[in-house]
Amino acid sequence: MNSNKFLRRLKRKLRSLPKQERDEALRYYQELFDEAGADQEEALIKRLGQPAQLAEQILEEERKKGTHIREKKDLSRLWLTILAILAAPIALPLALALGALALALLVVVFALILSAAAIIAALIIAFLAVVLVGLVMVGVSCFIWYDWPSALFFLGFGMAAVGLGCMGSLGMLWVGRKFHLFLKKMLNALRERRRMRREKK
Amino acid sequence: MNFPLSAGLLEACVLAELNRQDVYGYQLTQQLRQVLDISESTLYPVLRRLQKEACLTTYDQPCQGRNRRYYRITAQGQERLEQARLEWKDYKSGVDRILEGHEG
Repeated sequence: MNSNKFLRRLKRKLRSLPKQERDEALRYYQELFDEAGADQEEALIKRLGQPAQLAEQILEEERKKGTHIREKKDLSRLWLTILAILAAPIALPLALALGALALALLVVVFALILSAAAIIAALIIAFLAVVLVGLVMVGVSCFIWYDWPSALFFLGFGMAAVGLGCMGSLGMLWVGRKFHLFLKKMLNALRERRRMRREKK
Repeated sequence: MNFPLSAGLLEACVLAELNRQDVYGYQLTQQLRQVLDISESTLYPVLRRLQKEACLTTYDQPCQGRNRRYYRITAQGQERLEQARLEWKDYKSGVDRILEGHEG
């Protein structure tokens, strides 16, 4: 190795130093080579050792003095930032789309739950209405006691309606209760998952 | 046997040389290497440290188309040197006592 090669390598290894500190160090060693002259050059290079080790020695000393050195993790952080900026035109809209999709899914689930509840409620009311109609029919049948067939028809039909309506509404109430329990179970399962995630962290 | 040179002692030696006369980098290393087995790479951090602690200053003088960087001791550097001389005297006599077996 000759002095130029040595100094070039040293300069490269010292690039994480601030400019002033780097220039000072290079200047010192350049001067040594200049003074040593061609005949002492080889001996000097032998004494100095490898440029990489020498650079590490200088860097270590500068670190102790609190000089700001661009560590390797600073460089990779820089690259990550550049990559993130370059990827933004695709990454940002994609992220937004995914977010919107997730939101839409949530809304759909919520809507489904609501409509199921609404249907159950509506059916309960409908069956109660049937009960009411049945009662009315029974009532009416009493008033047309003079017309036996019609009265019997109204009585029978009315009682059937009351019976059906009661069964129906009770049945829907049971469905409603099951639905309610089902929702509760789901909520608890979600809460457990959140708790477990927190404990893991 | 190997008696490694501590950083503090090396600093004192550098200051002692500077106290005698202003020197430039290569000259200093050659002078010290006559007595001590050190490398120029060991000296650079020492010089930087002394400069940071204001024990020496530097100035340039043109020579043969280049600029030679000279090192000069400061008043603070001289104080440090005196302190080091006293400490070294104590240390040296202590070690001698053990090695030579002198009493007190």
